[in-house]
Amino acid sequence: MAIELKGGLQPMTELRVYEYDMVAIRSQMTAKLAQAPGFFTGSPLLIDLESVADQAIDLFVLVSWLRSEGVVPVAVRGIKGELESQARDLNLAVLRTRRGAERPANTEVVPTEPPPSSPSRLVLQPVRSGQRIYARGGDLIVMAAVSTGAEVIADGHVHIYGPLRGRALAGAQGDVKARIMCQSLESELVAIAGCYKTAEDLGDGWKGRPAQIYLDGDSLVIQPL
Amino acid sequence: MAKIIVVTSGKGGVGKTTTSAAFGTGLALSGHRTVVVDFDVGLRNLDLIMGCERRVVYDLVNVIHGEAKLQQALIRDKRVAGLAILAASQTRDKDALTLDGVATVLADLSKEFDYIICDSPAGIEKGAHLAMYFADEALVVTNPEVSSVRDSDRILGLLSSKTHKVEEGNGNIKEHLVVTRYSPSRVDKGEMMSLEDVQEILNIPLLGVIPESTAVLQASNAGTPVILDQVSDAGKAYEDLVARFLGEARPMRFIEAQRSGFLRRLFGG
Repeated sequence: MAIELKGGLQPMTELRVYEYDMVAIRSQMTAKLAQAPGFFTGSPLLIDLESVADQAIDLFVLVSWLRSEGVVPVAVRGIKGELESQARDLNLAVLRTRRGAERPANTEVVPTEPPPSSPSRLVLQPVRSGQRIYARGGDLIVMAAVSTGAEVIADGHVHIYGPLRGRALAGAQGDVKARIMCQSLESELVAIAGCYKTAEDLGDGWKGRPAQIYLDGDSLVIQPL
Repeated sequence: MAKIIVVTSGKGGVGKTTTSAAFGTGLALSGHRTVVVDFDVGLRNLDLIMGCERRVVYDLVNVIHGEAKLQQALIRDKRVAGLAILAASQTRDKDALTLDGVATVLADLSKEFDYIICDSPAGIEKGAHLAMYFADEALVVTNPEVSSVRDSDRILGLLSSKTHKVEEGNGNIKEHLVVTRYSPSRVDKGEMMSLEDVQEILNIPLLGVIPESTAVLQASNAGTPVILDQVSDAGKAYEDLVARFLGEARPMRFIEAQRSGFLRRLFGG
C-alpha cells in the first residue's frame, strides 16, 4: 500500500478581508507579521472574502503579495464567478461560504429534489484516549464510552450512549443547530460550531447524569435529557 | 504456531518487566516452551530481572542485523527448563529495530517455542509499537492510579488499531488487564483507585491483581522472577495469574484489606 487517504481536521488561520484596499491590507498585515515573525511563515492560510463579495478584487495581487511575505495561502472562501477561476489559476482551493450553502451568482434557481439525508457514522467500540473520530457530513453515534483524551467530532450531532469523558465537537463545519447528547457528562471540553465550554465551566454536577447540549444564540446550554 | 503475547502499559515503571519475567517463568514451569524478548533497546532490564545479565553475548539487535544467529543470542534459563531470554541491546537505541527484522525473529522463535512474551518499553514510540505489532494477545499492566489508567487506555486504542492482526483483518488482539501494586487498605481509605474504578474506565477482562509487595524489590535485586518466591503474596498472585491465563478458574486473592489482629501484629505476618 503506497498511500492512504485520511480525513483530518487541521487548524488554519483565516485572513478575513473586510475592505479590499491593498495599501491598508499590506500595512496591517506587515504589522501583524512583525508582531509574530515565524508564526505565519509557512503556515497554511485561508483567505475569507465573503465580506467584500461586492467589491472588485484582484486575487492575483493579494495572493502574490502574501506569498512574497512567506505566508502560504491554500484556500479562498466566499467568492464566485470570475474569482473562482482566478483562484484555481493560483492553485488555491475554493471553499464554501461561512454560512453553509453556496449561492452561485449566474445560475438560475432550479427546483431540485431534497438532498439525501447525511450518513451517520456508528461506532460500537469504546473510543480510547488519543483516538479521534470525525463523522464528516453527518452525525456520530458512539455505543460505548469516550475516554479522557479522546476526541469525537461530527459535522452533525454527536450522540454518546455511554459516559462522555473526552472532547466532543458537534457542528464542526458551522452547523449551529447541532447538538451533543450523552448518558453521563464528564467531558473535558464540549463545542458546537466553534463555541466551547471546558470541564471547569461545566462543573461536576453532571457526572453520571444524561445531558444534552445545544447552542442558544452564542452560548452553550446544557439540559438534562 | 507460537502464541505471541505483548506485555505493555504505556506508563513507565508499573511492572511490565516484572510481569514479563514472572509470567514467562510461570508458563515454562507449567510445561510450555517459553521465550521472553526484551524490546527496550538502550534501556534493557529484562536480563537483570531474570538474573542472566552476566551471560549476555548477543542481543535482539545483533540478530536483526545479521551479526549473530538467533541460537547464539538466546540465553537458556538455568533454573527453569524450557525458558529462554532474548536480551535487548544496551548500546544502541530503538531506531536499530526494523519491522521486517522483528517479523523474521518472531517467525524463527515460533519454530522452537510455544509462547513468545514481548516485554515492551514504556511509551508509544517505535519500541513499544514493534513489541505489540505482531501480538496475538496482550497483558496491559496498570497501576490503580490516574495517569497509569489513562496511558493504558491509550495503549488499548493502539492495540485495537495499529497492529498486524487488525490491519490484516484477522480479528482483534485479546486484551487482558493486569493490575499491579494494588493496596486494598489504601483503596478502603479512599486514597487509591479501586479495581472497579479501573475496570470501569478500561473495560477489558481482568486477568490478575498483584498486590504491592516488598518481595518484588527483593526479587529484582536477586535476579529471580518473583513468581519463584512462593511464600510472597506477589509470587502467589502471579501464580494465580498464569493459571487463569491457561484456563483455570481461580478467585482473586489479595484484594481485601487484612484486618490485623493483636496476635498478628505481635508476631508479624
